Amino acid sequence: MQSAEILVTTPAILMACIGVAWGILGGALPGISPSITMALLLPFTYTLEPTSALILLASSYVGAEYGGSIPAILIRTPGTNAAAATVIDGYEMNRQGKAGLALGISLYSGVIGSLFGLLMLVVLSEPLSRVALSFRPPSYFALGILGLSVIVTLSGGSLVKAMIAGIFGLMVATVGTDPVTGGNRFTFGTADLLGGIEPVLIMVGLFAVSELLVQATQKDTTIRVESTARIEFPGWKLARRLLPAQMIGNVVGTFEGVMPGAGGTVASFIAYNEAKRWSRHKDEFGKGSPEGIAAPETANNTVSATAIIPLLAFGIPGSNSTAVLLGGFLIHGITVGPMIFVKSADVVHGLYGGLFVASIAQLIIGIMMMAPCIWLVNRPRAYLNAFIFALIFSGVFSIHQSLFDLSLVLGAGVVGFFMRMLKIPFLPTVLGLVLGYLVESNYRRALVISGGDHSIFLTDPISLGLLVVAALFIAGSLGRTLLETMKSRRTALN
Amino acid sequence: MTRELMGGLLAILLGGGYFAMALQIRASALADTVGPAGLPKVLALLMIFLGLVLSAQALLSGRRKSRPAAEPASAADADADADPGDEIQGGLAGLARAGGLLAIGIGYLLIVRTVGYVPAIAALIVAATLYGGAALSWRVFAIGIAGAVLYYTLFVLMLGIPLPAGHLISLF
Repeated sequence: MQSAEILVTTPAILMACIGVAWGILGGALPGISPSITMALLLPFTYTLEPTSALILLASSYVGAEYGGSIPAILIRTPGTNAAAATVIDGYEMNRQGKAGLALGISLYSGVIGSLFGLLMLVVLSEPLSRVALSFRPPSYFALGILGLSVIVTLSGGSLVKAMIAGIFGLMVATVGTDPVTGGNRFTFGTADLLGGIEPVLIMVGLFAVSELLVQATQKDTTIRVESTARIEFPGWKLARRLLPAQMIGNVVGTFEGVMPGAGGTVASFIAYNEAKRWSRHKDEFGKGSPEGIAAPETANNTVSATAIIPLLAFGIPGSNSTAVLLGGFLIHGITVGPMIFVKSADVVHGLYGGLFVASIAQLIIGIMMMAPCIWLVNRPRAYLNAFIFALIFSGVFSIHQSLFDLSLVLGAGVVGFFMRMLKIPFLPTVLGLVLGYLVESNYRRALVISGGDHSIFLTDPISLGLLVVAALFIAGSLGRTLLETMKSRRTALN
Repeated sequence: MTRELMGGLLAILLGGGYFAMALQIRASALADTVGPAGLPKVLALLMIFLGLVLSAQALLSGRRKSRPAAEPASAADADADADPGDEIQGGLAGLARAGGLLAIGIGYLLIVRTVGYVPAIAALIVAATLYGGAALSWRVFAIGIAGAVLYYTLFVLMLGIPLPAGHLISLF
């Protein structure tokens, strides 16, 4: 009820539609991930009221997940990583002259996924957050450590590199004013650094600028979309056939969305495999199966809503996209975590309402955006990148009218470029940056309460439980790495 | 030097530099038991430790790779660290290309206060488009100017954000 009231009294509906349209365009551009699409919007959210700003960001996430399937189906190039599984059967359907139907299945399944994900978000977030209401400073510190541990261990690749990334994020978070004494740290006498480094600047730099720098090293391999396909929705009989695959996508998307570090890509592939396993038409998979599109597209759209659950309930973003969404909350001074349902309930309800509008609007906007998407995908990469570069410069400057911010963004872009070169993941850095204050301030508060006695972290049962889980995650990941190393050595010896 | 080793050494350097700066943080009369330099010092030491681990891993894996390579190395083996999945292409030339784009961005920062937003952003679009490989023609300039006007309309006229007018405008 409150959601409906907010939707009527704020420009939330308009923001949801703009967000979806922007998300579809960004998602359709290969190389532009949902997190980049959202990061490019961040500067615009400064001038908006909080609910509209968050709806704009969250809706663009919803739109991007569908947008990624357009080039996946038409030119065999996924617009987003999460659309990679859609390529398998989507492109086959296109080759069989059924591109319109493939796009229709993707869009329709995306709507089902978004709505189911939203339902899960509404049902699960608040009860989960109640668990966190009994948290004290030691528990908050342990929660921050757990969040970092989970992301570090699930980032994929080298555990050491992910830990370096997380610590680097925590280091950047220490720039500015000390949370307890109010003294300055690492400000180099610059007034611009007194308030610390805003996560939004680092996110835009890491995600968007580094992508442009990486693309500058690559040749333009743009494949022209020749298709004039019109979206065609499945009939009643086909819709019934798609239902089990969509249900699988919903379940997998819910589980993977709630799990930090998993995300839409993993969800899409698991959903695809499970849909194939349970399908009556297994042999059609890989040869243009409609279920092969429905399952991954439902899953990645479900994730776009369920990934927000750990963010709202515990204040921990589980993916790059939700980290950018967290940036939106921080811009408006809203602290995510259990208290958000008490202190900013109107914003949360507005976000639910906005996501509902975005999910439904996706159907119409998806059809309307088809032609602009094809036009945009066909533009030469040089023009597109130049306009994105200019958008970053204009958008970031508009935040504080500061050229110092722009130099920070460029600097973060360079750091991001080298991180990508060294295969160091971004997410632990972003998480370290946004959780740095929570971790340090609660660690020190806990020690003030205990008179400097570290055993407080072990005598507080919640803190103890969370730290044990964090240790298990690290130990499990170390064990897995050791086993893999031993296995590869044995293989090399044989 | 492999990328892994480079990453490890960078981490050690970063940790060392950060530790040196952490030592200079002034203690406050209001300081708690940990103090403002407490966490930074721990983070610096952790970074140095992880850098050492990464470097050691790189050296060990390098030694393991070189052991069976008793036969002469072919040209294809020259870049032992090459990875077909690398996003960054073209080796040093690729790095230079990325540096060129960065230089365009820095150029914008240097001129925007003087020439103002519209000419500066138009120059940025034109330069980045040409640098991206577009052929030099009147279209590039026309699109650059159109883009600048589009962004001016969006940011200044529609969103009411004051973008730099520039010092040159005061001369007229």
